[in-house]
Amino acid sequence: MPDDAFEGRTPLRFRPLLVVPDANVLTGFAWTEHLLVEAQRGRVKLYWSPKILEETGRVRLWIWIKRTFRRSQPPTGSSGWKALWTRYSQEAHIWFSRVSPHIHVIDDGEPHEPAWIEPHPDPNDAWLWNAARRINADVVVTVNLRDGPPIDAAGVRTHDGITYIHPAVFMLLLTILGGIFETGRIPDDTVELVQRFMGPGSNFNPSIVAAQLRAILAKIAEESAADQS
Amino acid sequence: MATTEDRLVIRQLEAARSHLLARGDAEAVKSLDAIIDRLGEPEPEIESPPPRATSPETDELITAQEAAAILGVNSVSPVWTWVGQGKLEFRPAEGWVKITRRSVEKLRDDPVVKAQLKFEAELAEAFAPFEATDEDLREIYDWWPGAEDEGA
Repeated sequence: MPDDAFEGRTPLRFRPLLVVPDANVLTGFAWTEHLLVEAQRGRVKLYWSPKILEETGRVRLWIWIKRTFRRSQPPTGSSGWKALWTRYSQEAHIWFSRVSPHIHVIDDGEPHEPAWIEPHPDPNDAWLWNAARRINADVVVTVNLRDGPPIDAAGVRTHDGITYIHPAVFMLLLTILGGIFETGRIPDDTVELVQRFMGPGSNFNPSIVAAQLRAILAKIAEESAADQS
Repeated sequence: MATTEDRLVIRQLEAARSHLLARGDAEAVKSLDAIIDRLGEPEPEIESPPPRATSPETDELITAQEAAAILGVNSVSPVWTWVGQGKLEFRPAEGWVKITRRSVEKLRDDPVVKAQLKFEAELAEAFAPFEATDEDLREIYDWWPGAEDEGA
C-alpha cells in the first residue's frame, strides 16, 4: 500500500477503553505508570471505587511500614512516632496527588450487580464487579483472575462484554492498542505481533493474548458500526 | 554540574535503587551507586560542543520499542502518542507499522520528551516509598502468583 494512501487512515472510530484496575495492580510502579500515560493521552479512561481505594490505601500503608522498619528500628518516643507519621503522610499525599487526577471514581456499593455466578465466589470481589458493570467497562485488570469470570472457548475470561485481564498481559495489549489507535493500522497477524512484542521466555500464551486483543477490537468495531448506521 | 537531563536520570536511578535495596540486591545497588556518582560528577570543561552522536539522516525504520529506548522513555505509550500528534513519522512495515529513525532523532531534544522524562521521574519518586516486592505481595495476597503465571 502506498504511503500516501495509508497516512491518516483510520478504519475504526476509537474511543477510550474503560478500565477498572484492581488494587493489586496499583501496587506496581511500572503497571500504574503505563496506565497513567495511556489515560493522559485519552486512550484509556481509568476508574476506581471506594473499595479499591480502601484496599490500595491499606496495602500501601503496610508496604510503607515494612520498607521503613526493614531499614531502621521503630521509634521509642511520641516525638519519633509523630515524625514518622508526618513522613508517611507527606509521602502518601504525594502518591495520591500524582495518581488521582487521572482516575475517576465510581460507586460500587450494594446491591451487588448480577454476575456470572450467584452469590459471588469472593464477597470482597463483588465490589470490583459492581464498579466494572456500572460503567460498562471494557476491562478489569487484576492479578487475581481466579475470582473472575470463567474462561471461554477462546481462552478469555469475559462476562457481559467485560474482560478480566492480568496486568502484565494488559500492558502488552496497551502497547499494541496504542499503535492501532494512533496509526489506524490493524496488524496483519495479531498472534505473530503479540509473539514479537512478548519476546522469548514469556509465560503467556500468544494465541490467548491475541484473542483478548481481538475481543477488544471487535467490541470497538461493533460500536463503531452501530454509530455509523 | 550535572545537566537537567542527568538530574532526571539520577532521580529515576535513585528510585530504582530504593526498589533494589528493598529486594536486598546489594550488587545491583552498588552498581547503581557508581552510576549515580558518575552522573553527579562535574562535567569536564570543553572548548566546543562535542559532535552529537546521531545516525545519518536515512529512512531507516525502527520499532516503537527501539524508538522508546532511543528517547529514554519507560514504555512505548508516549511513542505512540507522539506518532498520533504527528511528531514521529510511521510507515507500514513487516505486517504492521514502524517509525522512521530520522523523526526519532529529530524529537530527542524536543520539550515533550523532557516533559515525559520529568513526569516519569516524579512518578517514580512518588512510588518509591510504596514499592512492594513479590515477597511482600505474597504475604498480603494468598493468591499472588509465584514463578508460574496465568495468561488468561
